Amino acid sequence: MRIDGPFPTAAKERFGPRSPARRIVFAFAWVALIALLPARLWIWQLPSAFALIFVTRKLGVSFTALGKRTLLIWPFVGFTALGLLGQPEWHLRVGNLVLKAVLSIWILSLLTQTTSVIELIAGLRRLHFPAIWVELFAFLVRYASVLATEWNRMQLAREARTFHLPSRERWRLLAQSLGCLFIRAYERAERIHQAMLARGYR
Amino acid sequence: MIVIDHLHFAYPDGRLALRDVSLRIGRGETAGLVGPNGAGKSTLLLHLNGLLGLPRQAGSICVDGLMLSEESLPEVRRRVGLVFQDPDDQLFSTTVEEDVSFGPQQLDLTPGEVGARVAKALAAVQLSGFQQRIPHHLSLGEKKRVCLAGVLACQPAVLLFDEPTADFDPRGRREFIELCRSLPATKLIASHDLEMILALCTRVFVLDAGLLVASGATHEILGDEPLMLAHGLEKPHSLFHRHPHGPMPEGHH
Repeated sequence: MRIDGPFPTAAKERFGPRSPARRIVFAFAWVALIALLPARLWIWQLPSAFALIFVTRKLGVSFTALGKRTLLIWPFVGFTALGLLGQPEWHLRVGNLVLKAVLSIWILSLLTQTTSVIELIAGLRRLHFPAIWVELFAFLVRYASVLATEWNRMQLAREARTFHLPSRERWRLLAQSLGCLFIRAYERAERIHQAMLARGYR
Repeated sequence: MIVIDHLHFAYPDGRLALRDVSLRIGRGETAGLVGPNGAGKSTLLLHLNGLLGLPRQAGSICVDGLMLSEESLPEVRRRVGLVFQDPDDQLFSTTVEEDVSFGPQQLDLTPGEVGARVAKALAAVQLSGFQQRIPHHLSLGEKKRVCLAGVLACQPAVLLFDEPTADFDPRGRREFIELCRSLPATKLIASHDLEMILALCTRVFVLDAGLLVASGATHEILGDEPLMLAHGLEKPHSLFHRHPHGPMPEGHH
């Protein structure tokens, strides 16, 4: 997800003038349409697929980049599909699940690829999403990079003192580091809360 | 302006952080708070903003004529601006403008007034035009200045700084000193950077293990080498040597 910075040029020219709120509404409406189409009418998903290919090319977004962005979701789709195995019409149901997942993730990836996080947050606010959700999303975005930097620093410091380690020990250390990161994140959250209180937050 | 009387504070785990601390800082004065790590400097600053609760254990805090209490807490926080050591703790919004406007928005000002305060605060720290910048893309010096702008936008009467020059390069440090000097508010600066304390503060307090062990004119206190060494500090270099481009510091013989 882009935090800020320029659009891909083609995307900016063709997508820029539309407001982030409209983009969000359009993307979610499209996902809802795909999700609600009955499994037996799967052939009617093809217009969406063609439209997505067209939009992706028009926006100048790389198919490889989109593919990479969907990697995280595949284990979840796989587990859900496993649960359908052996059930009546499982071929149709698994195929339907995979098709809907691909198209929905594709749409959402296009949205995040062409809309900066700041625009997304502005759009969500404009759409009157619950303030607490939007704030949580904004915090997540703001501190993801801080935590990532902290994690990298911890890993570097650990590796600098790791000379020879059996792989089991590596897993143990990794778990320790994750625990440590959690505690640091928790402490940072407390300091952020104090900083908010210091400026009159109620 | 700031009056602390017999303040005593222990953390919930029983660790004693402040022991019978009493100090007074006059209006418009710039004072320094020095001491070794874990001396209680940050704890004292948090107390002045009421961030560690009210002083229930013992003692009292009075800021700008207001005794710290449940009722006065919001007003005390409005009048006291605290600049945290790590700017990433303080800059929690997605853009500079949002962050600087956070404080004024809590004061229920109109959007126009908030906008004017943001513009003025950013101009004061020489960051006009940074409104739409992303905090984590800024340099450390810029981040610290945005933190200061966020505090200035609340128009506080007292400014508290926690290690303001930590991690600064020499130029950033010099710029901070100039910026700090230009601010008219009463200031309390907690730092290990004794040269900066020497450059900015007229008075200094030495805190060690939660106890206020010394206070007085900056040159006298920081120039007292045995005192400095006894409390994990060092006499600043500029008090040992005459600077080639300037006069001897006041009070040094």
